[in-house]
Amino acid sequence: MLFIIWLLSEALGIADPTFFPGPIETIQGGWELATDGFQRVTLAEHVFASLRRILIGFGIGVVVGVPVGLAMGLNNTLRAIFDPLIELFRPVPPLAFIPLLILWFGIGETPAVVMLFFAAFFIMVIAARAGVTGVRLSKVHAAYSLGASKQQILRNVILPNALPEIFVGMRVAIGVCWGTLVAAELVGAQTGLGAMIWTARTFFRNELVVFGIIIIGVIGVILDLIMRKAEERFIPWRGRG
Amino acid sequence: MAESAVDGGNVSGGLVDRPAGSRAVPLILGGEAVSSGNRLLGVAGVGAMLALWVVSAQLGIVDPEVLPGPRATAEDFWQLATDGFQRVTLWEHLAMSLMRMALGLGLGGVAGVVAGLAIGSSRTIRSIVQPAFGFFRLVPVLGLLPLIFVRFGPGSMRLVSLLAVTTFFIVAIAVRDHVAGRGPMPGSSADRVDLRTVRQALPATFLALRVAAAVNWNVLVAGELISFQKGLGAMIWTARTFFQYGFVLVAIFALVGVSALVDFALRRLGDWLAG
Repeated sequence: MLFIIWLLSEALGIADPTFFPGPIETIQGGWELATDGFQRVTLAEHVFASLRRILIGFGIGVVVGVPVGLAMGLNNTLRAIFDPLIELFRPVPPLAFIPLLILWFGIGETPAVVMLFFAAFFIMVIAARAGVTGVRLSKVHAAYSLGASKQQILRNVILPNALPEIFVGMRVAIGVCWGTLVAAELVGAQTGLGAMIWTARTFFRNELVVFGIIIIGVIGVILDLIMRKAEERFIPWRGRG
Repeated sequence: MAESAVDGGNVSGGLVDRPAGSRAVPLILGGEAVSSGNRLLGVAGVGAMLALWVVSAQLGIVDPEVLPGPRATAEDFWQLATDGFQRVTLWEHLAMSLMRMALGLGLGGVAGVVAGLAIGSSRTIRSIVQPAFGFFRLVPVLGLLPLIFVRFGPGSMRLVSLLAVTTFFIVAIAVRDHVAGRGPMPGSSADRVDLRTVRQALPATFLALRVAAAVNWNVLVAGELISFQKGLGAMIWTARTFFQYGFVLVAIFALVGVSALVDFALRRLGDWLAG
């Protein structure tokens, strides 16, 4: 329905095309970008650059964040020490750190990846911790009374019960990472979808800006769907705890 | 509705989700059931971090060019608070950010409550709007940020409207779920919406507003960073161009404080209004 309104506004000339491009113009721009590229960089290259950054940053964030969160959930002392620190830094928008990260890691791929790592890390720590502390004690006691060892309890009781939370965390984290990455690319990158939009804007190619926004939205939806499918596939017991 | 009740969802990544009752809420707002452990240890943890900062700066282990020490940061704070940087003080930046945040939460919140009530109480409206909601809930908010480059209205309003859109969806979904989940009330038809309904939806609304505020700090800072002269995000970026990293630290501390303050204010306001 939104699309039809958009189409009509162009056909009838209601919206000023220089300020807000119509769908036909946008599709033309998108086609040009996909085939010839804009400023000699094609759409595929931009998408690839963005995806590579998010996969590395988000991946490391999950791999490091989950064990830290699990440890905090299992150990009261660790939780007491690190909870306030995490609570202190968690609300700060990851983008606020970008000047310092550029200072520390130089211009290039590293600052953006480190920023995404932090964005994912905090969310994953909280998710994994919540997953562990959410395990019903009766289940742990039941396993103990059946003669399970500590390791068995961790692997067969706590981990399966924490996994749904961890997957929720991963979905939230990948959404945050994707948006933050695009914003970071707007200010400091040569490749990536955000950088493409920034360049297009300086050349007043608004149809490319709108096309870029749509592509970003579509990729965001796809990333979320992948997370959802992975959740269904790997933890079919979700919600039946 | 296809979403199951246990669906955690994509509160901050996507525009729309079901904040109230969602398992994703604690990920956005942080743990409130924390402090189960020893508070002293927590204070010690933060204290150790601060001590490390002080000591490393004093002993010159960390190059002040790489990370400004506490004293330099305090001096920068004093300069920002009194004279300002580029003739804009910290308070002006703070006021600008707060104003944008308040406008976004206010406009989006009011529209969200109205829409949520309408969708929650009318089957017809729900069937029309549901598909669009279903798609937009998955779109990352920050991905829409470049829209502020596409001219439709004055600059500041473009950012505010983005904040308002985020707020609108989060609040509308929360209120819709509240109204839809309430079931038929004794003595009144299920479709009736009156002041009492609004009042009952207040706790859900304010929880949603707190989630929206947490998400919006990201959007606000990113937006100010890329295209404004005033606001905390803009301050961070100007400081960077002049290699004034102490100002960046001040801005980060200011963000910690102001986001906690807004969250606290929303919680208190919600409690007070709900009685």
